[in-house]
Amino acid sequence: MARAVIVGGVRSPFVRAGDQLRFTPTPELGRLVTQELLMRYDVKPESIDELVCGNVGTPPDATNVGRVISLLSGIPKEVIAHTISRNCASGMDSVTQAVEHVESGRFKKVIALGVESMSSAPLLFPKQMSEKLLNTTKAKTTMQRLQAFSKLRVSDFTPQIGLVMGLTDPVSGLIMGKTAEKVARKFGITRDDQDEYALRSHEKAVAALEAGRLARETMTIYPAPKNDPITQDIGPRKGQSIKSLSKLKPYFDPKYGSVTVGNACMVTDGACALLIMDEELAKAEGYQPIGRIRSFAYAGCDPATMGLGPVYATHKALQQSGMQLSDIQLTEINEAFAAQVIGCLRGFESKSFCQEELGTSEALGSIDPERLNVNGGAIALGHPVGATGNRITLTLLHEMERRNLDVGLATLCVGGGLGGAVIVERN
Amino acid sequence: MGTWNSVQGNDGILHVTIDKPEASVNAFSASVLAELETLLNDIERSAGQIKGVLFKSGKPGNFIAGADIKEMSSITTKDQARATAKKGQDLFARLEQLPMPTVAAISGSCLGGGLEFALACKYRVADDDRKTVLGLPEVRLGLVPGWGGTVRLPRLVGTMNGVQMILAGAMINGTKAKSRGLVHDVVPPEALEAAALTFLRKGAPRAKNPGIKHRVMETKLVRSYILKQAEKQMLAMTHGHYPGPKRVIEVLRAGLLEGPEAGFAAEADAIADLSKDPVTVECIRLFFLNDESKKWAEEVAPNYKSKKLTHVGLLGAGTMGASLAKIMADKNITVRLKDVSADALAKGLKVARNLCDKDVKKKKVSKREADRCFGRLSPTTEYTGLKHAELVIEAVIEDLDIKKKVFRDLQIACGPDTILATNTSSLRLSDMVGAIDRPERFVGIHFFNPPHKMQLVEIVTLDSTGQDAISTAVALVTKLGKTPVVVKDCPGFLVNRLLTPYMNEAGYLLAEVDDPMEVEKAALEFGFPMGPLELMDLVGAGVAAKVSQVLFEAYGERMQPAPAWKRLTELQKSLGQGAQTKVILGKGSKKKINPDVAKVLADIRREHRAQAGAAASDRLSHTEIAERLVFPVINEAARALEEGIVRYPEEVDMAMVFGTGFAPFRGGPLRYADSIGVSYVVETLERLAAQHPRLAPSDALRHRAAIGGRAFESALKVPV
Repeated sequence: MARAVIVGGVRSPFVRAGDQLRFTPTPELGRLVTQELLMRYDVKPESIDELVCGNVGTPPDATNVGRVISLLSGIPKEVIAHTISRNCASGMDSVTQAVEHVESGRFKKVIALGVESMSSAPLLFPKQMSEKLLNTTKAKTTMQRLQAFSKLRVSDFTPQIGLVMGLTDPVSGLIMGKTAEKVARKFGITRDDQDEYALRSHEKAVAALEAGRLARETMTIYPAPKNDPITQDIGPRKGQSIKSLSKLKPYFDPKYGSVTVGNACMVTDGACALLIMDEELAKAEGYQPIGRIRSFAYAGCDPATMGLGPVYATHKALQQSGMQLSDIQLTEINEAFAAQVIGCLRGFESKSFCQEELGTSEALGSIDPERLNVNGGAIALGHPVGATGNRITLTLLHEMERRNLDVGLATLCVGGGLGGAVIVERN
Repeated sequence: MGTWNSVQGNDGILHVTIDKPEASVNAFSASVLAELETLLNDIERSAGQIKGVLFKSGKPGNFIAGADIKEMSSITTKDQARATAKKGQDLFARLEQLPMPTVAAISGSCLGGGLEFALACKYRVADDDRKTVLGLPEVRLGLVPGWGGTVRLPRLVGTMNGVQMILAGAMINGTKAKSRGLVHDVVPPEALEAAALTFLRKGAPRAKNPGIKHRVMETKLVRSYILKQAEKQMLAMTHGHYPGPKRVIEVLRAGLLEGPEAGFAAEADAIADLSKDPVTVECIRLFFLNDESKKWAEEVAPNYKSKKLTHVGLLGAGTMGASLAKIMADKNITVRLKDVSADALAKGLKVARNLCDKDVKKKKVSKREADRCFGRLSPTTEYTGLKHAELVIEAVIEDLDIKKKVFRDLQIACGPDTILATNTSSLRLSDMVGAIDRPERFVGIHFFNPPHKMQLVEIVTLDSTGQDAISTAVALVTKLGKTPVVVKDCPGFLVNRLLTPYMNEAGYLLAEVDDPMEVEKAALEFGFPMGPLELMDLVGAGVAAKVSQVLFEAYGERMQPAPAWKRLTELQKSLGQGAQTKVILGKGSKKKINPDVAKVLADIRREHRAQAGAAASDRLSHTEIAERLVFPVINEAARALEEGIVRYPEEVDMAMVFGTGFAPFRGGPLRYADSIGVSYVVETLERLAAQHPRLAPSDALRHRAAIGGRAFESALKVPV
């Protein structure tokens, strides 16, 4: 069987939604990183077999946005491209699908792109408004038309915020923050636990930026309309204090909750692309890959506690590779919410949780906090949902190289009740 | 097979395919007109059986490009010219009067006589292909439209648009033609014929009633006002050097104010007078020289057409680099744009973005196309993304050591076959080539500033430069729609080497004349688009000083920089940056000398007088000033030719006209020398040299003078 390797990758700086990237729509954001990937790795566009694009908020004017990005990046029309959505694991899915396509022998060179412009989430008009407007066009006489128009109410024009709808699970009816509250209550995670965790995330991210540890993966972008450069992530706050974090009001449950905007990830714009190749070809073309995916898994769980998804998915991925949690030398758990990451750590360690939920006889083990999200996580850096899977895989592999480690885990929770996990190794 | 190939369909419609045998484009020659006459005879004879006539072209990218200019320039008498005009007018009138509907299905260039032909059809449908352009560019050749275009075009597009289009020789695309009412519809290329047939079968939808605005605009009073304004603008631009535009106004005036018959007659008169006018002859010669430039380039770069350019590296995102990057991206080239810092790149990207936005504003491209163009620019501060580039051009700061380092770095960053080019304007290639392991891939591509506006590009070669490198350079220049001139490496290359004596002499003159504006006026009267002071503003005193210093070091006394320029450069430095540092302030008739500059010039004048005594205070006439400005150019050109910097005198003329705006109607410096006699130039320079040794005629020029006659005419087969 062919082996797939991750040759390398590049990403945009992550920027708070509604900020400097608000005039950079999804296709443009995707083009920026895809074009840079081609350039940095000296890939001839015509040598690409496929582009797989993970994206959650489908732009209404670019339905198969992966294809649009592929063409805008100068990749010839003959090369295929598609877009996949597994909510927050869309980007991770682009990576694992690219790996599968290479390992099945179908393709030799695939771009795994994740892109999200949360700034571009649309405002929607309620269904009843379009219904009523439709009736006015059906009217035959002027009287009928007037009547139809008279049915319209101001409230019909109240826009629904697409972003809020997208972040709400329709099955449980819970917005993501509320699922985090559930996890917090389930494991008794306090507000202080969460704020402490969030503070650490900022501290680690600031240190990483200052030491230039994220520079290798980050490209400078010059977004419209002013073309002023953005050279690095803007989320990490230097001098973040526990005091200011503790002052914030719980956002999702103001009365009894503990999840705040300070201990949750920010709504973010960003994109990340990886180059996945057949190992033999990569060698022949003189590349030095940064690693490969040893095993990966997606697992389902209760949508109401979706934040625990990493535990389920990691368990599956470990099983597939015949490994123990203790074999993992470095871990990235995406920080959708501090409560949810802490919940996962407790879940891994809890014998009863593992017995009940995973059917194992023992707990999976514990993850050393010193070997978790060592360069900070989404609470500081941001979580452009469709691009996060690519980002944590890339950040993990770069850090493993720096520390000369062999095996790592990147895992994330997925709105709607899924977890995704990849176990990576360096060659 | 002839040019007009007709087939009648079952539906009674006559399909005429215009396809001139053994020619790359359709153009009206005497024989093509004669064939059209036969076709019209046939159609008139069997009018009863023909329900409609559809004209389309058998040549992709070309409907009818106009009249056959080669044949036109062989016309020797006024009467012949008048007869040709009449002939076309009569035929097109017959076409217009055919009893059945006619339609021109326009794809590709539909220019001059080609558009006049289409205007005589009842309907016109164009496609939205990029190659489709419509216009009456005759004025660019010093002529006027002679086959009814001046009468029929304003009728369709209105006096305002019509006058503007004809006077500027503007060419517009199908979409714009539709919005102006020049064509009845614009459709995708594959739908063109079907759309044209629909017009023949169903006619055009009833035209909307012209609004009150239209009726007001088309009153005689407004028309004559528009013409008067256009005439004023035209005279301000041409300084009265060109009879063509003057006659355009006259002809339009006749047609618009006195009626079509008067218009047609005026057209024929104008053609008769203009066809052998010296200005027309020069304009037509330049037209051919521009065409010829590709053939000259092909002689040294035979396979340039096979060179593909999809990925080019560009170092330096300054104004020059950014503008160059943008015009390359326009032509589907992915540009890896490198500079040392993100801020420098941001500045460059802003420049490029502005140029893209301007294109959208001018409706040259859609917003989507502009975004795509901008998206082909890939900025970086690292030497990456250059391995597969076919060509890398450096446009970094003019510093030899920096450039050498850049080339050493590039050799690591690029592929083994990437062509390496320098865009230097003041340094020599021979000083840089040492930094390059395989000198055969090193070439100069000198764009003038700003690249998006300047037509000429010098391709500079060393003996070591390989054919691949020259071909790639020529391929780029022609792909960008610019005119290449291949020159050998020497200080200043061709254009700056010839322009520097001119600018220097202007500097010396500033110390001698009473009013600095006299120098400006003399240059304008001679036919330069702007005077030397204004040119200095455009080039930038700093750049000019750098170039002239380099040339002085290389060529010695004859290129000794004029002290006036040095003083002005210092003054500008002290004034800081911005508009107030310009030498000439204001625009149009409000142009005046910057008072700070005037003061410095007055000082210089006083010092000069004190030094030179009373002799210098002789008043110089404008003619004398012009000779002092232009003759050194001719002198230097003779040297450059003798050294083999370029191969043909015609290349010098073309380069100076397209590169510096050297009075086009005089045909370029050497054509001008021939027209006044090279010996006169030599004698004048000898006389001047007594006082100004730098102006002594060169041996090369003396040799030319000894040849006599048109000494600077090569055996090239340029008609005219």
